[in-house]
Order: sequence, then structure tokens, then C-alpha cells
Amino acid sequence: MSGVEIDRSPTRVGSALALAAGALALAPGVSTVGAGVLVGAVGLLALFNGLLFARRGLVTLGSTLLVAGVLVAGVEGAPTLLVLSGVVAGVFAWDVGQNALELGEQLGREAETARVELLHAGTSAAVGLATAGLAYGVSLVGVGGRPVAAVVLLLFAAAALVAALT
Amino acid sequence: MNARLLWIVSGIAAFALGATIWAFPGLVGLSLGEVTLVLVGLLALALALGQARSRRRTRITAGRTPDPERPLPVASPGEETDRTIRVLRSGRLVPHQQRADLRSRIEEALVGALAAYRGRADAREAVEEGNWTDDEAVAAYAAGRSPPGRPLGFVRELVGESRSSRALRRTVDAIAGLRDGAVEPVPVGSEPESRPPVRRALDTDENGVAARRPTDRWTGIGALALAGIGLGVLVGSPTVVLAGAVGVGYAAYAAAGTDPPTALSIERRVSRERPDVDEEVSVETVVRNEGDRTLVDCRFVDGVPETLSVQEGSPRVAATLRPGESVTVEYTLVAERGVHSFPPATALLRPLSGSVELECVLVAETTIVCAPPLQPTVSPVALRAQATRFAGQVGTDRSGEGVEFYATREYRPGDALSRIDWNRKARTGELSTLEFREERAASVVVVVDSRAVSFRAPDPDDESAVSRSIDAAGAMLARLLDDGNRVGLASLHPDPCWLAPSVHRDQRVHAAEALATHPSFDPVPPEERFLSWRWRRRFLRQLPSDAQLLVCSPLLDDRIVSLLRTLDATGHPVTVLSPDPTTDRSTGERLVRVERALRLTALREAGVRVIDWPWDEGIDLPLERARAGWRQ
Repeated sequence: MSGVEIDRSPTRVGSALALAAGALALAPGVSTVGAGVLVGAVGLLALFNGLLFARRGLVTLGSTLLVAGVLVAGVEGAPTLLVLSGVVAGVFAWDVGQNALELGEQLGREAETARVELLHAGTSAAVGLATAGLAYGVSLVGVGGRPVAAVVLLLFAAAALVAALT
Repeated sequence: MNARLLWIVSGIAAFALGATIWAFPGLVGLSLGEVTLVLVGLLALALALGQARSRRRTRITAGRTPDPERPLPVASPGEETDRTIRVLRSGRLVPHQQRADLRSRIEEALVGALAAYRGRADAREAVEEGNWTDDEAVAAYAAGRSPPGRPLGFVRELVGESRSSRALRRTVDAIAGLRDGAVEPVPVGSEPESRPPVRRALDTDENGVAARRPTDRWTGIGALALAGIGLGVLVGSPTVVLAGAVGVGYAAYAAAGTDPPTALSIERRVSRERPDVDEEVSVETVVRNEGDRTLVDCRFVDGVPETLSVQEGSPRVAATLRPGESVTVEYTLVAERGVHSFPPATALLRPLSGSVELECVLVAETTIVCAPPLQPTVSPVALRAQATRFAGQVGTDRSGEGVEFYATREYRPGDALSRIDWNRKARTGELSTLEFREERAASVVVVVDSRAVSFRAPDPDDESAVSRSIDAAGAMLARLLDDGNRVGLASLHPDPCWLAPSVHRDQRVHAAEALATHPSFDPVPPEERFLSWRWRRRFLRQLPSDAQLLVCSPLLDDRIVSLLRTLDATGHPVTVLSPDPTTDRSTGERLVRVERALRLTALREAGVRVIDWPWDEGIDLPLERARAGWRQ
């Protein structure tokens, strides 16, 4: 009557993708050799532990620190393209890591999940890269003079949308 | 909803205007001072912090799935008692009745255990006076006084357990010690936490959707947008502002998710619908998208009978299903006696972003019936002296046809030559005739106690005492029939089974079928209440007046004791075979073990035969032991 033990740890595919993205998010910090890389490294460690012990809070904390590290690197003057891909990688790690956690919890490691996970990860990456591309395009057009009003308005737009969506 | 729309419209407008000014500086003559800029940046950071806090406050509600691979866990004897004790220990309020019940149970167990050495009245007196133990705290607790304080008691209570819960634990240990000699004390807090099973949602709307819930897994993404923009404005870094824009993109993605399509169907095939016991049954369940939209993320868990365990493969899969596409899960089950129907399957459906989750219930009626033939016990079943008119197994107190020597008497003409005691003739020259004990068939009804209270096992993954009782009942029934007795079958259950005693050769087949398929032998506990008096009235109406009873019960409550005593007293001799599922890992389990032992004693004192059946033994050993004991 022993039955099958169910391994509820996060799925392998998702965990691997999330960790790879997390490592990628360290790149802007590495390029500036500043505080960013330190913050990011702590984040990667938290992400790793979160996936190892199936703790969602740690996955979120780790991704947050990874993104924070990228922003710090941005402040320290890392190249725009690197910063944008770093942020995308950080959010991607968060999304895919959570998904691996949820699939592990709901279905376990034994179940076939790879196809669904790859589709989920692909879409997530596409959304991030498309947004980053759009933002980069805008920055190329607006390079040089930096109109304060534009920034404020964009800020307001973001805040309004965020308020509407949550 | 309107406020949300307002936010979206103004956000898009602000974005358009901002982007225009960014792209064509000087087009609009708008300028802001440095101070305002700093204020706005700080505001954005504050809002970002708020977003992050909202993430911390949110409980993520991804759907949980049941564990169909594992059979339903069986409660341990004493689990309920442990629950009360745990609440007492935690300091939360316990209903007065529960507290009083526990107290009187402990008192009864103590008096019963002491009464084995002295009279009942003496035992009660000893408990009152507290001179039955050297432990003051225990003596005081048992006598209903508050236990004395210990040096530094308040410190110990702060870090450990309270005085009364410590006294309770030690008192039960002391009672257990009275019976079994000194016992290891139960460690503090050893009451096992029971695993709450995941209940399947069954109320669904017309599309089979049982629940729709936002997963909240994207909550907090707004913090990225706001932090990036706030930080970027404060330090004057366009790169950081742009990084914040990525957050806006993801937030929009999270919000854009629409509900996934729900047109799913399942079809299930099993390799055998009437397998033998322990035979592997392979199951194939096909999940198909019957709709015209692609289902991007479908997490499927098949419904597996609660009483069977999965041997190989997995009843779970995650799949992307285009219209008309299907996915199959394959797994093997190990068949066990009984009727096993497949409960509804669960599917969790999500859009790509996973921001909402629909829980669907999918039904495919499948049933496996496993009715193994009965294997008789090796050891004969000792019965009580009461006989019917037919030749058979029970020895009577009369001489007649039989094999066992009964007496000798004077030779009378006409006695068979084979019956003459030739040894005696040779020794003394007298003719005498041997007489044998007459053996007659007994009329026996095998009764299985399958009430909810008897569904207990020492280990959650073990089979229950009821399952053991059913196995034993089948084996003994087969043996009794083989020995030429009239045997019937009944169950102690709200919906009782009744098979009148018979020697007919079909009886064995009927009994095997009943033990596998009758609802009262279902492998899950009945939910309906068992009414002792109603059962007895009905049972006695059907029971032949000369029948004796062979009852399989773990004896885990007091009602069964009085019921069996009544039946025994009404002229139906009762023999009890009692599988023992009790253990001694926790205080509650120890108390239940003592109580059961006292019940065995009480029944024996009332003249009922009781065969105690330790959990780690097969059925033949206790039967053999009992037979040896009773023959003396």
C-alpha cells in the first residue's frame, strides 16, 4: 500500500531556464564592476535556494534583487541595451521560476510538462524583449535633449496603467 | 470598473503625450523645475514600495491538486484524542465537554488498570488518595487536583508545556506503565499532525468550471515600472527609466490574459474491469480539446480511486492542446478487494501569462470490481459449544458419532465390533464398548465491524482494521464451510449486509461476492450514523435462534462492548477476533491502547471469548493460540 511518493519540487526545465536567465541578469553588473553585481549575486543565490526548496518567497526576493542589481548597474552607467536585457532576464527568471514551482506543486516532477513550460517561457521572453525593444527605439529617437515633461508624463502613464491593472 | 477604465485611458493619454514630447522636444513648451522632478521621483519610489508591499500581503492562490496516487490516509487510533490534547497544549480554549470527557476517560482507564490488581472500589480509593504512584504531579492530576508546582516552574512553562498538559502526558504514561511495565515517556508534542486532504471541488457551472481564481502571481510587477522611473528621474539616467518601461510591458501582459477555453472531454479505458487481487490494471485516460480555440496551458490530474495506489506511470500531465488535439496519461494500479470507482478528474487551465486559473471537473464513469475467491485459514476456527442437529464440527456433551473418545460402557448385544475395547478384553476378559463424543455442525454468523470508528490503522498508509477484519472474515468463513458448518455473513454498519447461515456450496461464492461488493464492506468509512439499537433489532429478527457469532472488530469504542455482551447474553455465544491497530507513539494513542485492553478484559469477564490479534501477525497464529488456550 506504499504507493508512489510524489516529488513536488519545481520542474527541471523551468528551474534550469530561470537560473540561466538569472545568471544572464548579472551581465550589466559585471560590465560596470560595481555594487550592482553584488546585489545581483545575492539575488541569484536566493533564486537558486528558492527553486531548490520550492519557496516562492525566495524566488521573488531573488528576482527582485537581480532586477535591483541591474538598475544599480544602470545608475552606474552600464550600456542601455545590456541594462534592458538584464531587466528582461530578471523578470523572466521570476515568471519562469514561479511557473516551475507551481507545476511542481500541482503536477510533480514525474509529469510531462516540458512543452507547456517552453511555450510559457517563450512567450514571457517575447513580451519582455518586445517591450525593451520598443523602449530602446524610443530612447534612440529621444537621445540628446531629455525633456523633463516627457519623463513626468511617461511616469504618470506607467503609474496609471499599473494602478489600473492591479 | 469605471475607475479602472479612467486609469487606463488617462495612462494611455499621458503615455502618448509624453512619448511625443520625448521624440520632438520643443514642440510643447512645458518645463518643470528641478525640485518638482525630485518630488515626482520620490513619489514614484514610494508607490513602488507600496506595490512591493502589496506583493508581500498577497497570498498566492495557485490551485492545489489532490494526490490521487496515494490511497486515502487512514486515521490512527487516538488521532481525535491527540487533536484535543494538542489544542489543550496550545493554550487555546477547549469546549468544556471535551475537556471533561478526556478527564473521565483517563480516570476510567486508570481505575480499570488498577482494578486488575485490587477490587474496583479499592482502585477508586487509591486514585482518590493518590497513593498508587510516586509521582506527585500524576497522583494529583488523576485525583482531579491541580498538580503541585516545580522549582522554576514558571520558567519551564514559558519555554515548554504547561503544568496541566505535562501532568496529562505523564499520567497517561503512568497508566500505560501499570499494564505493560515501565514505558518510555512520550516526548512533548509527539501528537502527529494529520495531513489535510485536498478536497475535490465538485460544484460546477454548465461548462464544468468549478472555480475561477486570479493567481496573483504577477502582483508586484508594477514596482519595477515605478522604481525604474523614479530612480531614473532622481539620478537623471534615461537608461534606468527605460528599464522601468519593461515592467509596464509585463504588467500589461499580465492583465491582458483572457480566460482559457474550457471545452474539454475525457475518455478512460482500463485493461480489466474485474481484475484479480494484486493484479496490475493499466489505465489510459485521453484528454481532448473539443473547442475551436487553442488551450495553451492545461494541467491535468486524473481521478484515481481513493482506495487504490498507482504502481507505475503518472496520472498527471501538462499539455498544450490545439483544437481537436488530445493528450493521454497512462498508469498502472494494483487491484485490491472491493468496488473502486474513479472520481472526477481535475484540470487547471491558464492563459499564457498564468494570471487567472480555471479549475475544471471532468467526469468519466469507470469502475473496477475486484472480488477475490476466499482462501480458508490453515488453522481451524475454534467455536463455542452450541450445536445444531447436523453432523459437523462442534463437540457436544453427548456420546454419538464422532472421533474423540468420550466414555466406555458395558457391551450390549448389537454394538459394532469395531467399537469394542479389545485392549480391555485382553486385559480383563470383559467386553466393553467405546463411546465417542458426538460432533455436530454449528450455525455461525461471521460479523464484520465496519463502522466508521473501526477505520483505523497504526500507519496512515497501512490498511485499516476494517480491511483486515474483512480478510479474516472471508478466510474463517471459508474454513468453517469446509468443516461442514452452516455459515452466514453480516456487518455492523448503518447499511448492514445479511447472508443467512447455510451449508450450500454456493455460500462461499456468495460470501466472496458480498465481501467485495456490498456497500457495508466499502473500503471508505460510512458517513451515515450507526444506531446500535436499530441494528440489533434488525439483526436479531434475521438471526436463527441457534446461531453463534464470530465477530471481527478492533474494539475501539465502548458501544460495541455492550452490544456484544447483550448478544452473548441473549443466547448467541459470541467469539471476537480483534485486530489490534493501536500504537504507543503519542499520549492519545497510548490512552486508546489502554482502553482497548480494558475492553478485552471486560468482554472476557462477561464470558465472551476474545482472540487478540496483534497487527504484525497473520491470522493463523492467533487462531491457533486461542484454540490451544481453550482446549485446556
